[in-house]
Amino acid sequence: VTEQSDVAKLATVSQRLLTLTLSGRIKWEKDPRSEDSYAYSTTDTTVIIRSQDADNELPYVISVRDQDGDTVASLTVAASFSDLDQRNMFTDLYKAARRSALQVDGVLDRLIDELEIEDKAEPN
Amino acid sequence: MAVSVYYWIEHISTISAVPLALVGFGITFWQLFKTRRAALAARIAAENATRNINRGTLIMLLPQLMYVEGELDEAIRRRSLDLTLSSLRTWRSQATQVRGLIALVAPGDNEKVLKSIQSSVSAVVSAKRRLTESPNDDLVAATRVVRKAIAAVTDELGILAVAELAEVGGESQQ
Repeated sequence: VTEQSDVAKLATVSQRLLTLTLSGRIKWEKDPRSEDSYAYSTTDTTVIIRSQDADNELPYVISVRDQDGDTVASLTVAASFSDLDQRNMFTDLYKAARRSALQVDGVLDRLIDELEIEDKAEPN
Repeated sequence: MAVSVYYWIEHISTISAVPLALVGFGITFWQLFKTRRAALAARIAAENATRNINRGTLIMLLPQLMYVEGELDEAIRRRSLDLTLSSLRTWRSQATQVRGLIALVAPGDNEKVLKSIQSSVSAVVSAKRRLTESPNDDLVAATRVVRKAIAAVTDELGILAVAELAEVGGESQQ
């Protein structure tokens, strides 16, 4: 059971993580739990966000682990989540975390650069 | 080559850490005694000696973490789920000890390595959960992320070990 105060704090944490992720100031990593699970660690805390059904869609599970790896707070955000703004924010965070962990921008930028070089090269 | 470096770190630290800390205590005490009151000199010398003993303990633990990383690789190579889970448990326990010693030896000075340790401990928890829930998962694939997290820690700690050995040597010569 998630306490209401935990929901509010997790929403605050998530909003700050979203801002930092979108500005590129923090980087997420893949988490071994599943292919759709991503993690961000500070020096003594880890935040994990994952798609519960491993399909990149709602419901999302966001959890916080302490320095021993124990889960201290967790929240499941389903399609029925009452606060629409918060639901959209958690969805944005999942997508931003995924893009960060998979380095989507870097991969696509390198691909575009390589294709431009191929385009300018003399045909064999 | 990495094993060789850790072998020497382990042996040098075993031989030198505590004696050097005690020698350091004596030298620091004598130097400070000349200029300050004895009580203050004793306190500062004791603090330095404690820090050096903690530093020596930390340096001795680092090769053990490297050994656990090797055990994990071997468990995966043998396709042994039980040994893999055991190695992950050991890593979680020892990495937590190392984190505590780093906080004592160099508080606020090792953000990168502390983040790596935290990341590895959490990754171990996730990997154990995945392997427990899906014991038939391919071990190599299921542990790829956690092994990368663990390797990042041993890389960072290798750099830290060299720096701390230099500190122990430097302080004992002052």
